[in-house]
Amino acid sequence: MCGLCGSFTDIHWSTGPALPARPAAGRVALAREAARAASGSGVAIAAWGQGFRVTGPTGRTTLAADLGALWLAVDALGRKAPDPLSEDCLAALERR
Amino acid sequence: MSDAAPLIAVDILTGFLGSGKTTLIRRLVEGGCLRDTAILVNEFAALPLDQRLIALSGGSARVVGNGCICCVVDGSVRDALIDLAERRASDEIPPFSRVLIETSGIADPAGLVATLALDRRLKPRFRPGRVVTLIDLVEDETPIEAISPEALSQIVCADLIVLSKADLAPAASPDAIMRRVTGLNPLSQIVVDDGLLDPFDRTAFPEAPGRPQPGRSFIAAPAAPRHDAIRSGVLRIAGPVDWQAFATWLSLLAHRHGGKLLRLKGTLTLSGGDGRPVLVQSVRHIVHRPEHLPADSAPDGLELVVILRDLEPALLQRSLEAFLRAGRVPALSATG
Repeated sequence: MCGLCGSFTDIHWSTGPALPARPAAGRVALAREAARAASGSGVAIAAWGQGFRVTGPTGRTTLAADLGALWLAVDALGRKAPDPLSEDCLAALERR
Repeated sequence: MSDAAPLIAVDILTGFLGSGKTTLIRRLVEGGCLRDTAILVNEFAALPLDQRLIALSGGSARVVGNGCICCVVDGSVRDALIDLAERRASDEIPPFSRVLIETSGIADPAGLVATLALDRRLKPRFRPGRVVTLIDLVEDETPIEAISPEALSQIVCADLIVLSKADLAPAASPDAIMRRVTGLNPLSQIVVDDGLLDPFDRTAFPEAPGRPQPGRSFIAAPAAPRHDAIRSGVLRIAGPVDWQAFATWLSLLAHRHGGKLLRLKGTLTLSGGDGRPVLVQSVRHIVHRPEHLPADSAPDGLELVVILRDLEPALLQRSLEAFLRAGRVPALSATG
């Protein structure tokens, strides 16, 4: 069933059209992409329960329910805030 | 599929002070166009004059807030909507299939759209509907969008722009205003009010799937000197895209640059999906819940219109391409 057509109206938008029969797989994929985007900040990101676990370079960890909360956690725990328009971020992604 | 009651669309009528919002509502009430509609009026002044005028036309409106809607939206507007829904459910008031909110003239509608999209108590009952913005054809030398940031936001947030008071400015040509407004918001339809128009009629004005209107310039030139910082453009990716890579990009973009990402709207088809395009839209930091559209209702691939302040569309295109390309490369691990 597609998350868009389901009865749960409180899901985060990022879960929407990709919520398949295996929502955990979708979260793992989102965690992987978020970790890639935040690679310069020194944080580790993993799917965790219904959301994500963010661990900073000092080992401090917080849980985030969705991508919006995840970026707030990355800002709070990371060495620097990821910016999808910064030259550093783009160059790192384009080198891959 | 859900067996819950369908979500009630909340349409928003906005426009700067004196643009003719209450006049339009009175006309729609008198014409019977709002029979199944609950009307909420936000007045900045303590005197509920607009409510009285609508009542004179045979309609019934409820006033929310004593102040601008973008200031009271988290309180009285939300409470009024919840109260409406509960009274409708208990048959205290006649059933209605939509809500129309008239904002005050100095309101920034983006806050209201955000509340409709995000509020946990509203989301199970309501959904954001259409934003209609009135612009007075009888304007002085200062373009309306240059008067205040709120007026500019009213234009940028609009799904449909109605040029009002054509009867009071018979010699005025709407072309210059149309060109200017198109430059600021290529997503909106623009019509001149002929005195009979119902901008909330979905048959006359069907929902646009998020593409620039035909004949519009895609990379808009700023029309007013004060809006040199406003740019619009279209981001395009050929072929289906990976949702997780796209969602990561958009969520981080809205988080970091939401104040400059004035509007984003468009469609994309998903790799591994069923072929139906997905409509995505955002207003500043707030991304709406995506919607599936019927198959073949939008081109294959990604096509997003963006309206930006102090950002170049080309930079967003490069960033999006980088995220999507990186998403095709297997990550070494799921950590950063």
